[in-house]
Amino acid sequence: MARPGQHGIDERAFEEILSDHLDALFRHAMRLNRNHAADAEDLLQDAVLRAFRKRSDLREVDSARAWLFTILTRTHLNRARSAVRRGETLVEDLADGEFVRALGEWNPQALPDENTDRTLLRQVLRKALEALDPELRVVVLLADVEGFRQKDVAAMLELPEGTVASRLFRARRELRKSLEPHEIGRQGGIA
Amino acid sequence: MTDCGTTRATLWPDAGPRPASADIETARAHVETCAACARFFENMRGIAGLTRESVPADTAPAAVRERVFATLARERTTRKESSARLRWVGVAAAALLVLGVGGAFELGRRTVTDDPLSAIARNHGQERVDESFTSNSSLAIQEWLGSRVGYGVLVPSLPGSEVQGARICVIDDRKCAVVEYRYGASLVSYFILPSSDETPAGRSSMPHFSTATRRGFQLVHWREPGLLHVMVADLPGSLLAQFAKACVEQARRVVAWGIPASGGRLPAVEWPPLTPYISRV
Repeated sequence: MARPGQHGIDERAFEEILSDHLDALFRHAMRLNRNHAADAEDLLQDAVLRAFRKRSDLREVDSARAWLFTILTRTHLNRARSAVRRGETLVEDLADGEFVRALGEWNPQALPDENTDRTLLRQVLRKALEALDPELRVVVLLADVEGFRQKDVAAMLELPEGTVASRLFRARRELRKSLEPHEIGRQGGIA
Repeated sequence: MTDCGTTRATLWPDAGPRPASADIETARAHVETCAACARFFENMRGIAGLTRESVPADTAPAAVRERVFATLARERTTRKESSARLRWVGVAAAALLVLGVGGAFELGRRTVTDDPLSAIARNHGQERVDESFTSNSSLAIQEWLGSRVGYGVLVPSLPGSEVQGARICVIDDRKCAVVEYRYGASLVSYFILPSSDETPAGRSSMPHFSTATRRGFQLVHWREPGLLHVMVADLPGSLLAQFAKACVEQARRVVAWGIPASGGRLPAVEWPPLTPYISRV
């Protein structure tokens, strides 16, 4: 087991840690890049190099996964942000009051029951996820897919926890809406 | 009675277990009686689960894995070359500084760089794995060493010490002769190693002795053209300086009179007091 010293981890330990997490990082890179393999590999290479150069920052092996995901995600967001006009924000975040109001106002139907074609739902959801704004997609991928806690996601993205919460809500709401044209209603018809 | 928005914000991101508080209890009580809020949280959990199921779960293809580690290998090489270049730039800058500033100092008083002294102290303190020869005969040791190093080695008698053998070791890629003595419970090692330093040392001039401490050992060292001499032990520096003086004295007598047959006594040579010639590194 690689153990970081006082000055972070050495090159060999870094490679061990990377090898352990490479599959998960590759998957995350694929999801961030809407399953474009070439872009995903490019992002992965970039992030791995950044991590290697900053490996002295890693103090505990237990935090290696979150640390690597943070670097990969931030590298992706920096690329996404540089692709839009300077000063333009990709998403408009909700203020606290707006978030509470939005939560209260949204009343979705019950989720599709067991008779619904789950494969179809997954395909639809996958396309909806790819269509999400990058800033929203990142939050869903880190929180719902990778299972990081909301406060960890906030630390990874350097955002207030409330902003992560509102983005996660907006993303889930978008994803839920994407299912509506395809789901089988409680009465057995198309909703 | 709390409203739906506040309830959902309080229990966000899901209504799962968490430390109880008055707000949480109130929000949970609301969800139990509000079908819309119960459906809301059911949707949140369901969407998260479906999203998790919908994303591809590929492993990194072997080719990608190979390319990532190849990139890392290139990075390591590049950084090493870059730091080597930086080191040389540093060395060159230091050399220029020494050339510029050094002229103001006495050039004859050269000292040994830290590396050989640390390596020698480390070699003295470590377990012996070198080629070695055990004997209490100075002449036998001299012959043994003479056939193994490319320079003549005199095995001096050190006051109060007993010679017990010799060995060959490598310090900074240089083959060194080491004569070992026992002084009470202490081991004294006398290293003689080739040096590129060409400090002139005529017969009439006293060598400059320097003392140093490395790895808890005392060292006294001095030079002669082409050779560096280092005496190291866990003994006071003043005692090692006396040993060093004895080495030089006996070497000078050998130069003047030749090595006496069967280890006979060498004629005495007058030397000035040692202390003014010793500096500390």
